[in-house]
Amino acid sequence: MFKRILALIRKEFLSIWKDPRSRILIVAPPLMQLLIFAHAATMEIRNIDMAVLDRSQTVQSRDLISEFQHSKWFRNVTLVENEKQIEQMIRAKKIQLALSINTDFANKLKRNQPTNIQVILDGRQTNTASIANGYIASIVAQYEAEHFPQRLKSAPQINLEIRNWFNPNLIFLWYTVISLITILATTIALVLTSLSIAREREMGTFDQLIVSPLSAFEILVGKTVPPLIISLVMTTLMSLFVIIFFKVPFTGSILLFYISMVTYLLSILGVGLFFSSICKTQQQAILGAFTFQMPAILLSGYISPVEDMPMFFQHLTLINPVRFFLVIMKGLFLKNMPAEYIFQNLIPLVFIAILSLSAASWMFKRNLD
Amino acid sequence: MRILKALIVKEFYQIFRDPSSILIAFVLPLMLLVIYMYGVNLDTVKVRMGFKIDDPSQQVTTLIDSFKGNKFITPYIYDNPQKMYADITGSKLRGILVIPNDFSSKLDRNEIATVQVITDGSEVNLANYVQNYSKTILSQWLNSSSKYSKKIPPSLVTLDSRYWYNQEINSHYFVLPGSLSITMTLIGMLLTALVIAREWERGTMEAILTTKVTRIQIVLGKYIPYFILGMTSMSFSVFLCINVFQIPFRGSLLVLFIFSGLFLFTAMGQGLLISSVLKDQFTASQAALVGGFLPALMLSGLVFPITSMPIPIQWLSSIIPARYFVSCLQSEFMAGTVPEIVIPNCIFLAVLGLILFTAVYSKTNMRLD
Amino acid sequence: MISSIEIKNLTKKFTDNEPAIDNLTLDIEKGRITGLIGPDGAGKTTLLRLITGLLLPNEGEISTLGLNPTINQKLINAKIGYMPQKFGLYEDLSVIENLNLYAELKEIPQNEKEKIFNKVLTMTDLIRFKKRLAGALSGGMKQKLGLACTLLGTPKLLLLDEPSVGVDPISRRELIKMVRELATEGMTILWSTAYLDEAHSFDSCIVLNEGKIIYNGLPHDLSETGKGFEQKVIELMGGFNPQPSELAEKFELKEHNVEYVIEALDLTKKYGDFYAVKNNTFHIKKGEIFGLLGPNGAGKSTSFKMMCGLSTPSAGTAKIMEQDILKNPSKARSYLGYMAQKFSLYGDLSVMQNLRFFAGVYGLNIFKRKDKIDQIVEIFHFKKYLNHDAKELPLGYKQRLSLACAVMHNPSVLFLDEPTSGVDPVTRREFWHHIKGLAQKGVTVMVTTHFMDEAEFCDRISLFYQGEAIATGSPTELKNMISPTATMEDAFVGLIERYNEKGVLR
Repeated sequence: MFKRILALIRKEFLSIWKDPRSRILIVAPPLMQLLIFAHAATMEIRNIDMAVLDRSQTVQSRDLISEFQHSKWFRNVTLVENEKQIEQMIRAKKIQLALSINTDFANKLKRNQPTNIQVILDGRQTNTASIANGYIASIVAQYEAEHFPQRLKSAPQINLEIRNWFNPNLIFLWYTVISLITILATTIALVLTSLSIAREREMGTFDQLIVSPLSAFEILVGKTVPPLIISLVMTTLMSLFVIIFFKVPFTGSILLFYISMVTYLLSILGVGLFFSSICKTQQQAILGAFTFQMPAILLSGYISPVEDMPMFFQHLTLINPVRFFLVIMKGLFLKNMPAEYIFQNLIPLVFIAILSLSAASWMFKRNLD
Repeated sequence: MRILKALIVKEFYQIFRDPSSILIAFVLPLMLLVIYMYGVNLDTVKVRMGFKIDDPSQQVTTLIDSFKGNKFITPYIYDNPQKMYADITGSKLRGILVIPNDFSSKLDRNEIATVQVITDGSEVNLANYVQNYSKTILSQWLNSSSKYSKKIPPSLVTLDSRYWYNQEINSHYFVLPGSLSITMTLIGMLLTALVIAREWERGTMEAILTTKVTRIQIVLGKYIPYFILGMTSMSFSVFLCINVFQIPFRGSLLVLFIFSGLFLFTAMGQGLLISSVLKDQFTASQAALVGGFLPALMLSGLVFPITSMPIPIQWLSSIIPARYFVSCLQSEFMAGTVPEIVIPNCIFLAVLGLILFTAVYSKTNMRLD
Repeated sequence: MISSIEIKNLTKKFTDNEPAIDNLTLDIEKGRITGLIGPDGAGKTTLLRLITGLLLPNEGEISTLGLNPTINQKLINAKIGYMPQKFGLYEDLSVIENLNLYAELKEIPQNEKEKIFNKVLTMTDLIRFKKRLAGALSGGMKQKLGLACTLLGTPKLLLLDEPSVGVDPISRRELIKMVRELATEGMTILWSTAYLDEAHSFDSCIVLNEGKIIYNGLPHDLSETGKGFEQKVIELMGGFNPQPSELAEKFELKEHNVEYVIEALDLTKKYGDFYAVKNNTFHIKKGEIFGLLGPNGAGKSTSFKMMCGLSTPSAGTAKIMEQDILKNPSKARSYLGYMAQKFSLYGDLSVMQNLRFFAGVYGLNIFKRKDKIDQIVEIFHFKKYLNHDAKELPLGYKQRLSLACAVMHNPSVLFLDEPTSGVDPVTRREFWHHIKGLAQKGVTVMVTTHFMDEAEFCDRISLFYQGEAIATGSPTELKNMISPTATMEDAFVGLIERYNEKGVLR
């Protein structure tokens, strides 16, 4: 039995690995994408371009403007003459926001009276707009505190002492690359498996496998191991890559990392093989796998947290392997998550893996007609 | 003309007989829209916070009440700090607020009271939310508290923020139209990447090449049917967006169709180029996925703002057609037709599309060697 | 003599290899049917592709209908019909849709279309299946449809690349009749084939070997009879000297005392109301060669698939070495070597890699494996092709490889579904030499074929028609049912006609 499976495994490796084009397509893009997307996939807002309409034209207003000019979030601060310009620039997306400072800005401040600044934001990019608005508020608060230190001298105040655990400087890159490794590993595993049986069926070679003494279980093993090894190697490469080049800490247990990784990949491979075995053509298999992957990533907690979804979607995520694995990955990389918590997320994965793999092997046999 | 028509009709038969084309053109868009509408929240999200209260005063009770009253926070009160810390490690809590025993007494003495905010830094986004929510709620509570509010002088500089085009900063207005780019890329690129490769694999290309068919007819015979499929799918999605999901549409349908058409034209160029160069479905789909689809998803500005990316990556994104499409889409829906955006983007798409078309044309081989 | 094709000093090389076409000079006469025969890998397909302009020559000149394919590919395409080996049909289009597509691609006038379609559909007997998807047609029907599509637009030159591979004798007769009727209108036909009886009936024939012409002339000049012709051609190709089959000699049969090795018990396959196979029962003894004969679509391949457990019977079952294929599929299959009708080895793996894979899957141990593979390479002459991808092999070599992989593990039972389709005459003899040798050793063989001479090698034959076994017996018994002097082909055609007339035999 072992010999037979070994032969199948070797063949699977060959057909994935033999064609140099497919070899390059498997190894190079994930690493390149990790490098590029790590910097691209950020929710932090930087390089904001803005305009200021300074009707006050005073030392005070210029002080405020220079706070913006020296802030790390803003790139170009354009001074404009009238509101028409602001309107045009926002419309054409030349700037993301604009400030309008009133004529009496300095006078009111001198008299310790509140004054109002108008902020106009481009609501087409909602996320950028609301985050940028927060930046403005904090810059203005800082301006107040610097220039009018007396104001709150003898008032009750609350100071927030903020501790960001696991990622003290809230480096977004850490979060991004860990999620990216998960997404890329999922893509590799799905592409490798979803086509494997559909291709054999299109070519007629699957019959030959069925007629051979290989049992459905042996075919399953032979079809699972090579993609498992390739995606494991790729995940290891990607993890080393981020640890070495992006200095992302790895705090957890390596053993747990591999146990979880194998379990997770098995669950994804099972899904891929399942699609592959129910589809008649490669096109159906790859598009089917895709129709699984998109929602699985969207509803994994990567884009927005699971607890924030409506109940229906929260229930749906219980069968989504990506959801559980993301928690494990972040836990092992950043949190040194204790085994107890890992297992809480690992057990659902084990179930999903068993379910998807047995569904796949059941389909092998059933779909002969 | 007759030949071209026959090729197109043939392609349509194949499209309609394969459930996967319908899946990708109509089911997937619907699924994505539903998920983006109800499942994924890109605006302010709900977070679970733990509270440890060491100050049993009346004031603190009202403070906790204002946290409880906030719809974005699900509060959990802990007595056992160890359990609380474990829960943040286990990703059950996103943040912790620790109120020290001298909190109210310090405020009573008009001093600065310190509270500790601990966040789960492994979820950078959520950590930011926890910080901002805490900051906002604490200062609102202080400013409205019957006991302290009189002692606090009003803020000097206030902000009057307005979000143009999207007053309520509803991210659905931004994401739902944007998600059209995903399905259009899939149809344009992945589906077409498979179709020429399939004809080579199945040997039909050899037969077609010895009829009166000319090169331009082969190329157009692929472009036109998938173009129609893509535009139909787009109309379907636009209909859903406007009429079912109630996304406001302020632009012109004509303009929308023009730039969508141009985008589809370039995406198909990419897909067909991959297909005619690689000639087998396995490598073609891999190349389309990793080389085309993922970059289109990540670098188009749909999820991650382009302006925040490092400069080299911004350059890279400038050769990705999806970027221009997403920008046009969002603007057209929310702000109406903005010539400054639409015209240059359309010119770029048209030029790239023509270059790709020429490449596809010259790569379409009329011989076997 | 007016020539449709003139070729001068033509040479075509593919990378690293010896030339596929080697300094070839040839004229093909207008208005005649010329047969193109030769061993596997002789360069027949390459020659046809060069004539159409699908491939470009390295040296020499071709003139197709007076045009140079290198420059005027398009003009040539408008005048020729070319049917490639894979027929070029869209399997997800129906019969009529395929026809319509090719009619449009050849710009047949709209008002003539219907008339022509009716004509070709009647001629090919496909009118009943007009709406059926091409992928659901049997092999023979696909070929007829492929030919029909090629014939549209009345080309001046028809190039057919093995159109009759896997086609039953009745359909082949019809196919030739079809072509004959058209050829009277002055059409030139170049027909590549592995059936020498077919080639014998043509006006002229060319025998190709290693890219060179070894005979060019009238078939009747070689011999008056089909049989004699075949003998002569085989001699031209280097002859066949039967020596004891090495494959059979080295074959290690596991001893067993099972009397009926293969049994089909009321095997039935039903699609809706249609019986693909109906209540089929037979018992095959150890060492017997049992042939399934019958027209395309009679249910032979379906029976094969059910008996290997690739398809679940609607009723009944099959036993292999007394193991029920439904109850113990793995056990039953472990005795089995199976060669499918359609080439089903891994096209993107090399010959060597395919051999190694099957050796491994069948559980040969490391030391045995190497010996066995060396032995097979020797027997089937794979040396030249060892590192070639299987998909690039000439048709005949693909079949050899399939057979090699099927017997690799010394199975007690061999299922061979059209093992000799597309194989050259010499190799066919070799194949049967091996099969007979294996049977003598005690291997039980179930085989289908469309070569009537091959049917004679079977111990027993079951004639299949419309899902039922309409006659079973030894070749002599079957022939005697028609007349004492009948040939196998006469018996085949006669028995089916008789069945059609009376509804039952007897």
